[in-house]
Amino acid sequence: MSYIYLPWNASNARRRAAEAARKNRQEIVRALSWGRVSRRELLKMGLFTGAGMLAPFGGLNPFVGTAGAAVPTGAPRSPLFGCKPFTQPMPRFDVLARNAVSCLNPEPLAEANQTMQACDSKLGGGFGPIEGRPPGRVWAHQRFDEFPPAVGVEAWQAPATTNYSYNPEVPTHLNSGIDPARGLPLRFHTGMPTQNPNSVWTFNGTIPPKLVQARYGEPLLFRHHNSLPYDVTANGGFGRHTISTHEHNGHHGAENDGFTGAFFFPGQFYDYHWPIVLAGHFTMNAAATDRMASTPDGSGNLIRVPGDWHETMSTHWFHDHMFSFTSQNVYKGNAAMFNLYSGLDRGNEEIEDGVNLRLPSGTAKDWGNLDYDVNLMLADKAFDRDGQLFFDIFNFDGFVGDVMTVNLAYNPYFEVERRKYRFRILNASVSRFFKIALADASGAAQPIIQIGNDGNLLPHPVTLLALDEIGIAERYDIVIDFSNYSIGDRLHLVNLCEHDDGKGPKDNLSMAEALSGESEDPCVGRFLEFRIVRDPAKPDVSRVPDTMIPNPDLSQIPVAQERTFVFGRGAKQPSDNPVTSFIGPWGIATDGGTMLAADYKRVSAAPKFGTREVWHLVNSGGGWDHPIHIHFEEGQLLARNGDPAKVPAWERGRKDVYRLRPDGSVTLTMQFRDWGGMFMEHCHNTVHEDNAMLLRWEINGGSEPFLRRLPTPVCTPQGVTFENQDDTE
Amino acid sequence: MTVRQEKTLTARSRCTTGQKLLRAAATVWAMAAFALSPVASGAQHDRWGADYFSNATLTTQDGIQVRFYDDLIKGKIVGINLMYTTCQYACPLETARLAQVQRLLGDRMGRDIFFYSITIDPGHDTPPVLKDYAEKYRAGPGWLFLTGSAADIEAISRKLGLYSEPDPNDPDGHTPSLLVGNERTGQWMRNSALDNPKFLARTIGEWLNSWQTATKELKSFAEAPVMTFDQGQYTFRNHCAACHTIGHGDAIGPDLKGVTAARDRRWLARFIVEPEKVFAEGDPIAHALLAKYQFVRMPSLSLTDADADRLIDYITRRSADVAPSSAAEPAHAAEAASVATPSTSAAAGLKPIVEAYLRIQQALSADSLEGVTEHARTIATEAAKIGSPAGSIRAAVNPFAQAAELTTAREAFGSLSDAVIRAASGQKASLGDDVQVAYCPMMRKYWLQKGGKIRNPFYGQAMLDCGRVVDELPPVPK
Repeated sequence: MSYIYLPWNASNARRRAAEAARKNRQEIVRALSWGRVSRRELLKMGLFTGAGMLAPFGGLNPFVGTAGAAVPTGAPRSPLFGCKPFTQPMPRFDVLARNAVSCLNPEPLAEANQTMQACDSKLGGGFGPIEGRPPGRVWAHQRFDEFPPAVGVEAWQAPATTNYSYNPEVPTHLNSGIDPARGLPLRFHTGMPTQNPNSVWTFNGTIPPKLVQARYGEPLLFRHHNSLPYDVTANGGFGRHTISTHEHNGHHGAENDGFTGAFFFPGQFYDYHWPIVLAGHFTMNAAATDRMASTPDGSGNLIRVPGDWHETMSTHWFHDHMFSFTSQNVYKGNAAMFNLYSGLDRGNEEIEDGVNLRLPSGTAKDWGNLDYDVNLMLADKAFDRDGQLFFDIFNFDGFVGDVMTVNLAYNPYFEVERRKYRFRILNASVSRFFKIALADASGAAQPIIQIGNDGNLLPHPVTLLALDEIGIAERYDIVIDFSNYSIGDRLHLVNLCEHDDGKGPKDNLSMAEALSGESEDPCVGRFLEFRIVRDPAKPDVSRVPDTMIPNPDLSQIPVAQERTFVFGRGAKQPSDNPVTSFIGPWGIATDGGTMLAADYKRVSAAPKFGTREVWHLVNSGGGWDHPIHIHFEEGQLLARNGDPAKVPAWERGRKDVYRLRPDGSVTLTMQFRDWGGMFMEHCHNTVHEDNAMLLRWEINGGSEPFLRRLPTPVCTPQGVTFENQDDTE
Repeated sequence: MTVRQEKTLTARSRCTTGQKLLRAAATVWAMAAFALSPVASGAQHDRWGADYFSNATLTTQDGIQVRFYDDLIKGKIVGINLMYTTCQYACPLETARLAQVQRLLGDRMGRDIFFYSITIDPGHDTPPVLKDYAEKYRAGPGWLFLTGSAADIEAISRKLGLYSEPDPNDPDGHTPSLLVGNERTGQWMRNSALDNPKFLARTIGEWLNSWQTATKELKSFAEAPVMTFDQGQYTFRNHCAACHTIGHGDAIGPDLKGVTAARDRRWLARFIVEPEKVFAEGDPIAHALLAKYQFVRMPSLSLTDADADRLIDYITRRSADVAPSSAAEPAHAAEAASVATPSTSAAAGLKPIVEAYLRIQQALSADSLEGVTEHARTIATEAAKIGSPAGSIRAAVNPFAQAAELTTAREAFGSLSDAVIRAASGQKASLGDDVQVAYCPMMRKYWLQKGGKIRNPFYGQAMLDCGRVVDELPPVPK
C-alpha cells in the first residue's frame, strides 16, 4: 500500500518514484472499483426558489473530488519541530463575551445597514455599505420585532495574532493549569513556530477556538466583522477574505443561515440574528404552558418558552460557508462552537426541578457551567516546511492532514478529576472521519456513554466501547466517568479510522492495531491524553439519566408525502442548471422514475407548511458514505436499509446529518414549519462539495413571507446587486 | 441548596474592556494586514506558480506550440476545461456556453482573460480538427483549443484537478468542470462550464480580481424584482439557448421560431429527448440538419418527455411572440411592484444630497479638500437610500472615496454635478432655497451653488468668479 506521506527529507528522486508508485496503485484501485461511486454526491445550500434563477453562485468548491485524480504530490510530512505528543495542555475553548445589545454600535437593524464608508482601493475603491448583508426587505431579519435581540456577541474574523483576552470561563486548575492572563501566541504547540498572520484566520485571530453560549428564549445578535486583509492575494496560499457564517444547525430564517452567496468583505460586518427558539414555536405549546419547554432564568428557576421540548438542541457550531472556498476557510480557522442551554440541558448539575437532566457541568452558576462540560474540536492539519499551516488547493480528492489537533493543539493532554465529564465532540476536519475509542494504559477499551448525536440529546444514553464513525460536522456528546480510575492514571482517546487519502475512510482498525503504531496514517492512534490528577473538591452530583429527550411524537402529524431518492451511478447527463450543472455519472431517481443526474426542479419538492414527510434516501452503486446535511430542521431516522431495527441506538434521536453508508439506505422523517424559505441539503464533506446533486425545496402553503423568486444576490464591496434574469443575449 | 447569582453570563450593561480592546485591535489588524500585504503577497501565492504548474508544450488549433505555464497561465486570468470534438453529450453544450461567456466578456478576452479547451482525445483532435470545431462554435480570439501528448495532457489535468478516471461503464462520464483562476492573485476555483453565463462572466471578469475592474454603478439588491417563473423558459434557457434562438436567426443551431408548427410534434419530442437514436436510425431530417449546420450534432441532454412537452409549448408561445407565462406565479405577481419600491420619494431624498454637495462645492472653491470625503460619504449613503433614481449619483460619488488631491476631486466633481442635476431635472424647486445652477465655460461643466455670486469649484481661487448662472437646468446629455 502506498504511503500518503513521504518522510520529511525525501529527495526529489524519491518523490518522483512516489508519484509513479501512486499511479500504479491507482490503476489497481481503479480496476477493483468500477462499481464504486467516485465522487461524493453533494447537495448544495441555496436560498430562494425559482429553480436556478435564484441559485447561488454556481461555483464549486475547488476541492471537488474527481475520480482517481489523486495529485501525486508525494506530500512531505509536516514537520513537528521535535514536539512530542502529550507534552502540552489542551486549552479549553475561549468564551466570547455576551453583552447588552446596546453595546453594539451601530445598533442592529432589521434591514441591512446601508451607511456608506470608503472602500479600500484593493477592493475597487469608491463607497460601500458598512454591513455586507444584502439590503432590502427580503434579507431583513424575519420577525425582528417579535424576537428583538437580547444579547449581543461580536467577533472579528482576523489574521493570526496573540491572545491577551483568553476567557475559558473555568478556573485554571480545571484548565490543565493554563494561565489565561499570559498571552497565547497562535501556534499548535509551544515548540512549534508561531503562525504568520495570514497562515491562520479565525475569530478574533486567536486561539483557543471560540465558544458562544446561548439559552432558549434569548435571541442573540451575532455581529461578525470581517477584518481580513483587503488584498485578496494576502492569504498564505489558501483561503479567501470574503466570508459567510453558517450556524449549524440553527432554526431560523434563511437570511441568517449563512447563505453561500451572501458573503461580506473586509471592512464590513454582517449581523446574524439567531432567535433561538424551539421548533414548533408557532404551532406547539404556543402558550408556553409546558415546563419541559423552558430556559434557565438566572435565579434557579425556569422561564417557559413556546415550542416542542422534544426538539431541544444542545451542541451546535458555526463556520464559514463561502462558496467555493468553504473548506479552505474552515480549515484556515473559521470555525467555532455554540452551546445551547435549556431547562433540560441547563449546564447546572445540581438544580433539581423535575426538568433539569443534571448532566455533568458544574454548580457555580445558574446555567452554562463549563467546569465539567468540555468542548472538543477535532481537526487534522498539515504544515509546510516552515511549520506554517498548509493546504493543497488543487487536491480534489479531499484533504487529509497528518497532524492531529484537539482545540487546535497538537496531541495535547487534559487534566481531569475523578468524576464524570461531558465532552462535546465536533469533527471539524476537511475530509476525515474519526472513530473514537477510549484506551487505558494497557490498551483496553473503556466504556464511553454517548448522550447526544448531532448536538441533540438522545432519548436514552448508549454505552459503547468505541463510538461510531463521526463524519465532518457531526457532533457526538459523550460522558466519561473518570471515577473508575485512580489518580496518576492516564487514558487516551484513540482514533481507529484509517485514511489513505481524502476520498473516504479506508479501514477501521482494532484498538490493538491502532495503538501498535504500524498504521501509515499519522492520525491513527492516540491523540488526546487524559491525566487523572485529583479527586473533585465537591462530590459529583451530576447524572446521566436513563431517559433524556424522547423523540417528538409525530404520529398525530400526517405524512403528507413520501419521496424516494436513489443516489447512484449510471445516470445520463443531467439537465443543467446554474448550480448543479455537473454532467457525470451521478443521478437521483425520484419516486421510481428514471435515474437522472439531479436537478432540484425535477424533485419539485414543495412540502406543505405544517406537515411532515418521509424520505427514503437510497445509496445504490456500492459507493461510499454520503453524509447528507439538512439545514434548519432536525429529523429522525425511521429505518436503515428498510429495517427500523437497523437504526443503531445512538442514532435513535434527532439528527441533521444522515449518512447513507455504502449500499445502504436511510428512511427519515422531517417536519416543515415555523420559518419560511428555501432549504437545502448538501454533503458536508467540505472538500467534496461536488455539485452533482442538489436537493432543494421550499415550504409552501403557509403565511411565511419568503416564497418569492428573486435573483441571486451578487455581492461586491460597493454594495450587493443582482443579475437581471432576462434571456441572455 | 443555594443558588448563586449568575456572575459572568448575564448580559452586561456596560461593554467589556475586552470588546473595546478587540475593536481597537481590529483597526490595527486592518492596518497591519494592509501594510503586510504588499510584502507578504509576493511569497504566499507563488505556491501556485511556476513550481506547481506543468510547463509541458501543447499545440494550439493554429498549430502554434505553447508552454503551459509560461505562455498560457502566467499572469493571466484563465478558464480551462477538458473536451473532445466527437463528444455527443456535454461538450457541445459546454463549448456553446463558453462562447456565450466569451461574448459577455467582450474585449477583455485575449487581453487579460483567456479560455483554454484541452482535448482529452489528442489522437483524433489534431489542430485542424480543433480549428474546425472552434469555428463551428464561434469561438473568438483569446480562446485556444489545445492538443498535445496524452501523457502531458493527463499530467496537466491532474494538476488542475480536472482529471477523471476513464470508466468503461460510463465512457462519457467526464465532467463539465471549468477551472477558473487568476494566476497573479493565486485564486483558483472550480466552476461549471454550464453555469449561468452571466454569473460566469462576473466571476471570471470581476470577482476573481476583487472587483477592481467592475463598474461601480450598481442596482441595489433592495430593488431586486420578483420574477415570474416559467418552467419552459427555464428549460429552454438552460439547455437550448446556447445554440438556438427563437426569432433571432440561426446561431450554432437553427432558429426555432415556428418549428413546432413546421415539424411533427412526435418527431420533435423524440429529437429533443433522444437525438442520438434518431440519428442512428438514419432519419433523413436529422441528417439534413446535420449537414446544414456544419455537422454540429444535436446533443443528448437527458431531457424527459415532460421536458420536451414544456419546451415545445414554450417555443410555440414564443414563436407567437407571447410573453413567458406568468400563470405559474399569480400570487407573487402583485409582489413585483412592492419589492422594488424605493423607500423615500426621489425628490425629498435629494435634499441631504444637495446639502452635502454644496459643502463639497464650497470646499473646492476654497482650494480645500477638508471634509470632502466625509460629505461624499453622506451623499453615497443618501443615494443608496433612494435607490435606482439616484443610481448615477451613487456611481459618480465613488471617486471621492480615494481622492487625495484637489485635481482628482475636481475632475470627479463634474460628473457628480451632472448626476445631481440630472436627478433633479425638472424640479428646480426641490434643490433648495437659493440654489443656482452655474456654468464654467472653460471646463464646459455645470455646477450647483448657493446664491448668485459665482464661486467656481473647478478653478477655485485662481479663477473664482469665472462662470455664469444659468436660468434653467440644462438638458444633460446621457
